[in-house]
Amino acid sequence: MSVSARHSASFFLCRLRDEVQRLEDGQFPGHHPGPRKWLAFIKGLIDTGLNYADAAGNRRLRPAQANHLLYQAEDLAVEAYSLLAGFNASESTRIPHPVVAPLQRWAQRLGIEHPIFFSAEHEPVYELAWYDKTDYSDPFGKLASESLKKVVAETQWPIYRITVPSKAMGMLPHFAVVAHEFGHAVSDDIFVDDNIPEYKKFRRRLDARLAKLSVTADPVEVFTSYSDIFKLWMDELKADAVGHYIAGPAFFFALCGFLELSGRGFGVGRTHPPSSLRRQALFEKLSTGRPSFAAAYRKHLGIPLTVDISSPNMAVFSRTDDEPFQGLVQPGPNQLAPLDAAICMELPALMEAMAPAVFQETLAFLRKRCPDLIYSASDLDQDLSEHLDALSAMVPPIEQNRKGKLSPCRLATILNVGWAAMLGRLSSFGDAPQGAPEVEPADQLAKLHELLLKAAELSEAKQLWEECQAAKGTA
Amino acid sequence: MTTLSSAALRGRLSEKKLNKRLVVCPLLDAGNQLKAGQASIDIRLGFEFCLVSPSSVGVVDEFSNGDDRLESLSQLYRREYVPLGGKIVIHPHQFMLAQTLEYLRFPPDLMAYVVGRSTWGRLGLIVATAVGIHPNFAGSLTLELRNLGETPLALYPGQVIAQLFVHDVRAPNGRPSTALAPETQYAGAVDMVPRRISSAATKGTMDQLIERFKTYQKS
Repeated sequence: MSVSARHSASFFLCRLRDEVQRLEDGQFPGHHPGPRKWLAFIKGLIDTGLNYADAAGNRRLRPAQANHLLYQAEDLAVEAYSLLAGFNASESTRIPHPVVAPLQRWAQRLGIEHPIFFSAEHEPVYELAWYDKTDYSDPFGKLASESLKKVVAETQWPIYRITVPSKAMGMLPHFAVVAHEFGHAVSDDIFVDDNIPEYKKFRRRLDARLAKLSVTADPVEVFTSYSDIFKLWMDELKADAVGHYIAGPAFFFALCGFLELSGRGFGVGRTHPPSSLRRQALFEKLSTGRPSFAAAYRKHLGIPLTVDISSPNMAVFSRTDDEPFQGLVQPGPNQLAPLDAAICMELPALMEAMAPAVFQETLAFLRKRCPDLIYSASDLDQDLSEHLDALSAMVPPIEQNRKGKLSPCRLATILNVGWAAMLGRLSSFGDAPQGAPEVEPADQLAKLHELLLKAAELSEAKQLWEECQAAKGTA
Repeated sequence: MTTLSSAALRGRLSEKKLNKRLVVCPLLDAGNQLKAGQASIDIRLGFEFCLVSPSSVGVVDEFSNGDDRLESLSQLYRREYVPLGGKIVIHPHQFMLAQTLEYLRFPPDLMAYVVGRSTWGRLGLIVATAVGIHPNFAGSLTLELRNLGETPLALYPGQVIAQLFVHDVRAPNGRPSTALAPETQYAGAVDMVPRRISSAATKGTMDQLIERFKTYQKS
């Protein structure tokens, strides 16, 4: 086999190993082992690749055997490279780091014990990806490196990667969307009974639509497609419900703003229900209850909450409208088969009927697992009373005063006070006194973002300090 | 000029009226940072540091129109973030910018001086060169640190690094001042890097003076 090919592969792997070392020497926001676990896994892949490259140099091997080993080495190099590329924006310099530790607290309180790392992209994107490499060292047999075997055995898989917008793109109040991503991680623990009367109506409408389209499908095929799409949509609704309960109205504003930015379509597909359905379900939760979130907004800002307050251009889905269906079956990478498209057109009505149960079960789950994480309308009212005027006077929500005791503000407080300031107080926020130059709205938003990041950083510092003081006291 | 005692400071920190409230937040250990019988608030080191780094900028000349014109003062600095529990070392004769951990907001009738702690002083660490905090200041305080000693010093975010002596500001009629600042470079500032050196008015006048001088030189 070609010596230079083997040397090239080894050289590539060594350079990757140097890059991993450089990252390991760096700083990561938050206090969690996620980034270093992930780097250890990548290093394990690289070491295994080097084992393969070395083995390919055995002169006693037949050329085909040597080439096969080299092929494996190259595969491992490419995999390590692509994982490194996905990881590369995880350092403190790229991510708005003050927000990472508070987000990790959400994960912890939700019972997500797995390692997490955050990664930043230069675009408005929020995503949860997970990597399960539980049996990853097995296929490599004797050539699996010790470093790979160790990290695979010692890690609680899957490792989660949360992607957020980079420092250049992100605005803190929008990070409420991360609550939805955490919702995906726990959605399997939230049970919602899907055996409801509306299912029969859904089936009748679906059958009628399929007949109109002249689509004949085997009942098993129909049920399988329906089950797949239903599960994915249900996951999204549960994740939305988690987002609502732990981030309050901030999640509604952030999600709707994000959905508006991320495309002009209906948002409907195999994996997601229509954006307008999600928006409506969340809006109803904001508007109901005594007290309600909407009432708190009216009281403190004089603003009536409307469903399209942060998404005026969102397309509203209707099952009688042909446009969504045409979008689903249009040739392209997201094209759906007519059966799936028909299911996507009829399922929203069923999901709408199920939404109250989804929210109810999610609330029950959160009350059992992490009741202190739930953000209520009363919390919003109290937070706006305490912090909104202060924020307008350049005092960020770092601490809250509850019954005479100062404690660090929760992330939900910071996000919601931030959104309230953005929606209703920006014109007075940071106002220059009479005769002074005007302040640009964009500059005001940037100032607000800075102050909220500072609030997140300092409230987290206080939280950590108190934990260490308490630990010292019990030591 | 009245200096506020720790008891008076406590009163102003818990003042209900926002326009009269002194904000120094968070006080991680209020009992020790505001000791009874004393007249200052201890403040702690924050997480971000700016180190002056080599660059192609030859001289800081805010009025230059040539190649050494400074578009942004941030070219001079390299940022380091140190989390709680971490440390940064300041070497002998090294200069760096740091921030207070606490966020500060001064009402119109209070100002403060930042004074280093004598313990650090004895080790050679100068904590602040620009020592006055004006009324209406809001933001994280930037500290200018220089190690004048001969020993490297390890600095940890969260360490008590300086103290604030807070004073009344009086209007001409002797009453507490209520004047708001018309233009404050650092209102709500949380970034250490200086944004400009002179005010817009001064810069405008200086530009004129420099042009006139150049013209005079040529003639």
